[in-house]
Order: sequence, then structure tokens, then C-alpha cells
Amino acid sequence: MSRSPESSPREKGTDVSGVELTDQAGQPWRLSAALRRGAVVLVFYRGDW
Amino acid sequence: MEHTGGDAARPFVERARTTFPTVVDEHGVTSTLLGFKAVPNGVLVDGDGVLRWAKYGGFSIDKPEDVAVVERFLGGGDPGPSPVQATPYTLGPVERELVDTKLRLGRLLESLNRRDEAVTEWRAALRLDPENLVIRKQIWAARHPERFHPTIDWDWQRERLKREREDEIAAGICGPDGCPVPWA
Repeated sequence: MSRSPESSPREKGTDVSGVELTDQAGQPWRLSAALRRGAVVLVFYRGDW
Repeated sequence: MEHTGGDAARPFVERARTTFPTVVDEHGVTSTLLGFKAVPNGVLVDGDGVLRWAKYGGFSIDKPEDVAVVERFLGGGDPGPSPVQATPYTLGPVERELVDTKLRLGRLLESLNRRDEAVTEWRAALRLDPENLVIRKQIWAARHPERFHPTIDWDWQRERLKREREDEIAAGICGPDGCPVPWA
């Protein structure tokens, strides 16, 4: 395996506004929609870990 | 991050009674985009959708230093430099795509109640990306659900990780010091 600069963890400056997922109820969720109300804090976790 | 889908995440969200939107990333879209391989993480995004600060591994709203950064950012201030990342990626784009594909295939197999085959795919993904704690825990949760429900057995996880790393060192995976596995 070789180190690849383009696959390093993103630290600053990356445009992430295109993220589209679903919420826990299965409804669509778009980061771009949340951003219309201002800055967003994303917290990543896995509930049972 | 929940590769087994919203059904696995829903009980936790309901217990926690969160007041913010909870989003399920069963296909690893965000881990691919942001390049992380451990949780918990905190990522601050400004109103233009640009990443301004990120802490991969060890982020917690119980840590005053993390809360201070979030409050400063939401108050319109500069969050400052991101912490030094503890989980450097060592995969090229092709290997990463293969890892993501095997994770997705494993999830599909598990949804068809073909758990042994799912774990085989996840183990193959872990061999490609042995630093990845997300994959490692996915396998543990599938093989040892009693260690995760109804309570998390952290001592078991630490012992398990220690044993697996010893086995990997003995097998020559990642060199004499083993893989630099992050522990959140």
C-alpha cells in the first residue's frame, strides 16, 4: 500500500456542501439545505460503540 | 456512521432524545469524502459549505476544549487550526474504492441474513485497510453482539484490539510495531 496525498483526511477548505444522506426515519437530508440557516457542526459517532 | 443502516441507529437516537437532526451514513459517503477511518469526529462547516475545522478521533462534547472551538466558531470566530490528525490514510484511491465496495457488499449480504459472507467481505476490507477501526468494530458487532447490547463492553474491546494487533504483528502486517490503530 502506498501513501496517497489526495486521500489524506480533509482538514480545511474542502467543499462538502454536496453531501446528501437520509435521516434515522429514512427521510432525505441535504447539507446544502441545512447550510441555508448558517454554519453547521457535524458530529460523527456510532451509537453503540 | 452505521453500515448496517438506519434500523441499527434508530434505537440509540430514540434513547438519546436528541434535538438535532441525526443522519445515517450506511454507505460511508462521509468517510470517503472526508478521509477518516475512526469515530467520534467533529467537523465544522461554514455557511458556504466549506470545511473550516476537523478533529478525527476523540471528539466529544464532554471535552471543554472541543466545546470551546464549537462555541467560538458558531459565534462567528475563527476555529483555529485543526488538531494534528492521528489517523493518516495509507491507501491509494483504487484500494480505497475496493474497501468501500467490500463494505457495501458486506452490508447487502447482512441484509439478506448471510452474515458469514458479510463478515468475510468486511475481513477482506480490513486486510486492505488494517488501520480502520470502523471496519474492525463492524466485524466485532456482527460476531459478538452481546458485547455491544444492551451495554458496551469497553474492556472487551480493548482486550480484543490488543490481541488482534499481536496477531497482526506476528503475521508481519504493518511491520514490527503493527498497524497504528486509532483508539477513540
